[in-house]
Amino acid sequence: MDLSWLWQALSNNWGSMASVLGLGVSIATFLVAKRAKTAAEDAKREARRRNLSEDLQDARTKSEQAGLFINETKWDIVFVRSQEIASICSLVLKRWSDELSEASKEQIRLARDEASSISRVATRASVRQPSESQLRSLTAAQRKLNELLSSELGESLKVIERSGQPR
Amino acid sequence: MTKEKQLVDLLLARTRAGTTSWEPTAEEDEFVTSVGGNSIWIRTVEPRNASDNEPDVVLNVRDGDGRQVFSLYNGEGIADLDFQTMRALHEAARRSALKIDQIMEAILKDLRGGQ
Repeated sequence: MDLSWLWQALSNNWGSMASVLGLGVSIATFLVAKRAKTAAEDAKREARRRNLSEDLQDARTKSEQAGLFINETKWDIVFVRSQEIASICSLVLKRWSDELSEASKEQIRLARDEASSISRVATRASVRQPSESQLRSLTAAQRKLNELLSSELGESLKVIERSGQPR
Repeated sequence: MTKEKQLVDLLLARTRAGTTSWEPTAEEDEFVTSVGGNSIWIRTVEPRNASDNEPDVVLNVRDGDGRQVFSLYNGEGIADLDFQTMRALHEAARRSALKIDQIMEAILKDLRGGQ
């Protein structure tokens, strides 16, 4: 087979051929870099979500402890725990503002409000023992707080699990 | 109409319509809702005037950072806001927070079904 025409074409247009080849290499490099960037961003987003889940987990643990200390009428510890929960909620709202949906923000805000109302009642309770009905309101608020934090923690873990699945 | 009056009227209308829901707090007879990134708290307190039969009503608004930004006591100091509207809002918030209408409906449904 006579391939002289090919040789001729290559020698006449080597500049254009090299350009086409260069363009192909550039596109391939761009695609690889883009995939690497997306993977890095996904990993970063997942790491942030994990941090968010850890904070919510911490708040929920403190809320469970607050429940135990309410039962044991250890008001000073209830006050400290509820203040800590309110602070964690405020921190979560500020730090993960971009990661949280509006509904989640609302739930966390409500959790912070419940925690701050628990701390107010605990402050008074350390001076004067609360009545039966006051205790019922306090216990219900602690249960609600736990519910809100658990629900948000679940939501956050769901997002992490989804992001870990192959696309 | 003052902004305070508009706020209370709209909250009352939305609460009655069920589009704004309230939650009970750890304080007795105190309820909270979240609107536009802020929290609105409403509660009853001992009346300042001992001869009053009804408790006073306090509404507090806190911003997104939890700072109290303003407060209404019985609607005092607001020309077009009266105590009855504040009382009605507290009652609507209480019904929403304790889910009184849903509970009543469930009981009525059960009673009707049992006939």
